Amino acid sequence: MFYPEKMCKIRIFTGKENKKRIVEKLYELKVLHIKKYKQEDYFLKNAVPIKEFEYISEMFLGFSSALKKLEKEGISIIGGREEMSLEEVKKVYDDFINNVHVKLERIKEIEEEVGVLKARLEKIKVLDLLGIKDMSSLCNLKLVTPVIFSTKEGERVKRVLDKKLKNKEVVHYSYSKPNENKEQYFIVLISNGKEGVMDELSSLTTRIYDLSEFSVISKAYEGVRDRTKISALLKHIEKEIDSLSQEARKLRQDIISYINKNKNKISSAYNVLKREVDKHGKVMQFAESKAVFYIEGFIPCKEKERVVEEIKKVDDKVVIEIREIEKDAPTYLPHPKTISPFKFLLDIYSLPKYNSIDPTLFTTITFPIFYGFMLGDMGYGLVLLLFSLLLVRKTRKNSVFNVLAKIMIFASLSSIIFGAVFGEFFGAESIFGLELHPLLHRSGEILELIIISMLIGVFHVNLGLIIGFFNELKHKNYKHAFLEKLSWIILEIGGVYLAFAYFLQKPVLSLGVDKILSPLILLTSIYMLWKGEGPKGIFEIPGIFGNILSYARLAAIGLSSVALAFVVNKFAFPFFQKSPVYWIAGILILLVGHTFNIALGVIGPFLHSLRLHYVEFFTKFYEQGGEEYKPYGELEEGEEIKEKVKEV
Amino acid sequence: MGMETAIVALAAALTMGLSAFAAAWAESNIGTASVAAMAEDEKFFGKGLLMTVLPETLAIFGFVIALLILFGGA
Repeated sequence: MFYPEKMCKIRIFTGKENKKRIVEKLYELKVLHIKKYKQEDYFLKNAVPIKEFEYISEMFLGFSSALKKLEKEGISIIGGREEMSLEEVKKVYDDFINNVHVKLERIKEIEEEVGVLKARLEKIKVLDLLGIKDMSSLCNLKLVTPVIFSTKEGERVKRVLDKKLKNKEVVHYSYSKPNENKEQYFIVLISNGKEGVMDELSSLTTRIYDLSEFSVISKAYEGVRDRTKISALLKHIEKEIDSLSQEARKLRQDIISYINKNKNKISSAYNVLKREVDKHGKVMQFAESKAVFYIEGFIPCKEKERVVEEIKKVDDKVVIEIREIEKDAPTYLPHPKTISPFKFLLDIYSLPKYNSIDPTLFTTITFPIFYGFMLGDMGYGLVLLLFSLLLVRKTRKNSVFNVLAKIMIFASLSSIIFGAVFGEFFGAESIFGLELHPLLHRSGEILELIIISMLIGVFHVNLGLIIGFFNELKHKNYKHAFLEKLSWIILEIGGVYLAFAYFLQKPVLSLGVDKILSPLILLTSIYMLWKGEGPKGIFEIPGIFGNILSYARLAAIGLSSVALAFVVNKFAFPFFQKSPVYWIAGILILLVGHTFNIALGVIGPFLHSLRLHYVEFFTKFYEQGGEEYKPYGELEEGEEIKEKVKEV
Repeated sequence: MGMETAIVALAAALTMGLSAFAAAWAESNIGTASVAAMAEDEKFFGKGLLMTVLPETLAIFGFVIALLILFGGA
């Protein structure tokens, strides 16, 4: 529990004829962490997947792209667990492509067509708003150039156009009423050769319509009766859009109805393909020559007998080499269920290196204590506990929210306990008239609270140093253990001893002896630091006191929560002394105020507790940068299909 | 007596206020950079959030000194 699982390096040599069966067996066992083969050998090259891999990955990609499109339509498929052969998967896939993929492609085409039609409709509507009844009147003008544009500054445009009308640069203009966005459409007939008029107006326009677009639209409807008549065109285009939208709706319904009938098969087939792609795709990380198939990786040492037995069942002539290793292996942290959620706190930081300390157990104990010390309120703890229990039930197992909720269960229980110690219930010192008797009154005994926080800091920092000391001893780094870890503890003892002897004048042994011994101890520790860490160690001496001082945040954050709760209660309670009508205001203030304080109480203590662990605790012993153990055969989180089918 | 109390209170307020301001200024810069890094790689979320909280120590030290001033002054 204090160290990652012991790992063994495994190498397997077998004939190429066994390749498929060995791969299947290793995938089934779910224990091998693959070491990617890097080609250094002329004879051994990276292995190639089996020949079926090509059509497996084709089916998988086809499924994936169709399922992504379905998600955009708001349709997702639940995870199926049926086992299927590849032939059955192929049947399901072909059926799926015909009933879903093809229809999705058609829906996409319809959407594109409707987009084009809507753009045309928007343009034709502009002409309608301008009172133009027939498009041919626009396209056959010889002495003037018509320009259509939109503007949000209608009045300014009119003033400019009125001037141009007087100068005969403009022959005629008309405009529509402003819409809800204050946008108006103008049609201006400019005398030929006076196109410079538009240069003046361009800064006032939001869009200028290209007239050739209208003739293109007219040409597109050559077969339609009265195709130049605006009203006829509008009706025709609207009818087209309607008909295409209906077709798209029918296709969507067909797809949903097909998926409803076959959801389990589809998702099972997809999951089978996902596993097959994962299994055979990773074969390229193995190696092979003309006759030999070679696999290298890591397995937990406790699994070695089982692995050998199972592989020998495939072929008893397989050559297997297994040896224990001390370093450069993946980090595998199997934890009991109770403490496994706290591994998440390591995941967001960095995994420990193989064969270095696993601090999960320590974190499981100290993180909730720090959190509870900071929040320290029975009422808040209860609310958080209920919320966390609900979140655990409602969220997917092992998802981020699920894991955080499990951590919060411990943290909120700790808050309830510390709430009893501090005598606080939603900031008040009584529960429905029942007086609470605090062991430590946070707002009244601030100095004591800070001293206790510092003592917690001294304990926590030294715990880190002691862990680091034993870790170095385990690795037989005696010099590091004594000169880089123990020296700090001796420094602290020397510092406190010196303070007692010279500043507080309180004898430990006798004052005379203390005054000689304490500086000796201090100097010895400084000498050890110098030998162990060089000048860097000496410069870091003030740092350890800063580390301990940092634990004052346990008091500070707690006090801020107390102060806020006090203010909320002080505002709300006077309302309850008036008539019942005023109680509503009082209840609202309590609800809003305490909800806000709880929200701060979730984020603040969590982050600061985490920071104390990462910066003040882990830095004393933690060796980060471990590679995560990923067994061949286990798909990563979030790869399973989830959610329900949307019913029509 | 009144003047002394006022000066003590002012000193404590300035200590706390200025150090909190410094912490907030530092965190705003780190927070902006962290959000940009998280936008590029979601896996950076945990470390980014943690780094944003690091300068809080300034406010904590300010708080401790402010309390020492208040209690010492009282």
